[in-house]
Amino acid sequence: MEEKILLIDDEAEFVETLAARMRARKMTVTTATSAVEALGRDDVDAYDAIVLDLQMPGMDGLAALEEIKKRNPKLQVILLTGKATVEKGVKAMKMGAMDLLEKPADIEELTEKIKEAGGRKMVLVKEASENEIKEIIGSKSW
Amino acid sequence: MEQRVLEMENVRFCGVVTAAVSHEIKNMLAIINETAGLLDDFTRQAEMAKVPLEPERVHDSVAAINRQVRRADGVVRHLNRFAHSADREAETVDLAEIIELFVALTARRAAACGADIQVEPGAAAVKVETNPFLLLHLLWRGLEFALAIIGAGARLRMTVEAGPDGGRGGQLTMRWHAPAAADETGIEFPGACDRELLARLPGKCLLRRQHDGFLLVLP
Repeated sequence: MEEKILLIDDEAEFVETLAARMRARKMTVTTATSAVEALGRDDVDAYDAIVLDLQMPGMDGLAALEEIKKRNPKLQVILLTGKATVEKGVKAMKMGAMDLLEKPADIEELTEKIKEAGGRKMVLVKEASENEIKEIIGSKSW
Repeated sequence: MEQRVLEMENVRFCGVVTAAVSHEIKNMLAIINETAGLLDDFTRQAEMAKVPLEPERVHDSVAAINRQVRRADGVVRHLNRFAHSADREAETVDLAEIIELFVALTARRAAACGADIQVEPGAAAVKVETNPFLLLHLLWRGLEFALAIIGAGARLRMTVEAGPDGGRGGQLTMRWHAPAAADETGIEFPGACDRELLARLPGKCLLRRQHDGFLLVLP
């Protein structure tokens, strides 16, 4: 499976270099240098994982995470941070982040997390479809 | 204000500055880390395909690493100047250099709040006898006040001018041009700590709030 990733970080050079490394690992990567730019896309629901910088000017990572989860709780978000405080990390996990990695992150660890995110999303989508089918069947009086 | 409270505020100020700088350095290290990793990826790909490594890819990666090293060097220089600002109770300082340092240390903090802070060209050389650390602390408190009352998209401009009485001393101003500025934040500037910092600066200094900023006059 070729994972589809949305990578958001205000450091343009970081985001493009990491994207190149992910593409070399057979992932499809879209980049954005702000949360506003990323959330303005009309295909946000289509990504297997959203990799998000915690500290960004304007809308920060936590605000973006909240917005993403509000739009689609099935979306899997991995936060990257230059300085991970325990407090912020706990808050992010409570808000539904899949994981939080500290920069500089290990590419193999990040790749593993992304694959895990893809798997989790697939399970959630499958469960949602099954529930929808059950509801339709249950509502019919055959 | 108690001496202990002011000392705690001074320590807190140091903490905020060093935390911001360490965050910036971490970002640069992250870019260096990814660029070195990319170079490693290219090498492995070339080895697997049994083809030579393209020199252009190597040059681009080395140039990217060099850019970040230069950037980090600038940040560390600013941090070093900040660290030495507390060396002496008073020294002769060039105000333009002080605000250049101040803006370098706080630009990311302002950007995180959606504001842009810059130095406007002013008087060539305005030198005053002051305590640079306490002056930077007072300016930082002024900036925090500004960031609390101005909305995203605000522009903060700092200027340096010669003193009002025949060119002696100097004046620093911080002005904000904000789409939405509200004074009802419960934050006071100058508050007790700001007044104490002002009182501890050498000579008779004056801090005046203006509707769109503040003015600091140093003897």
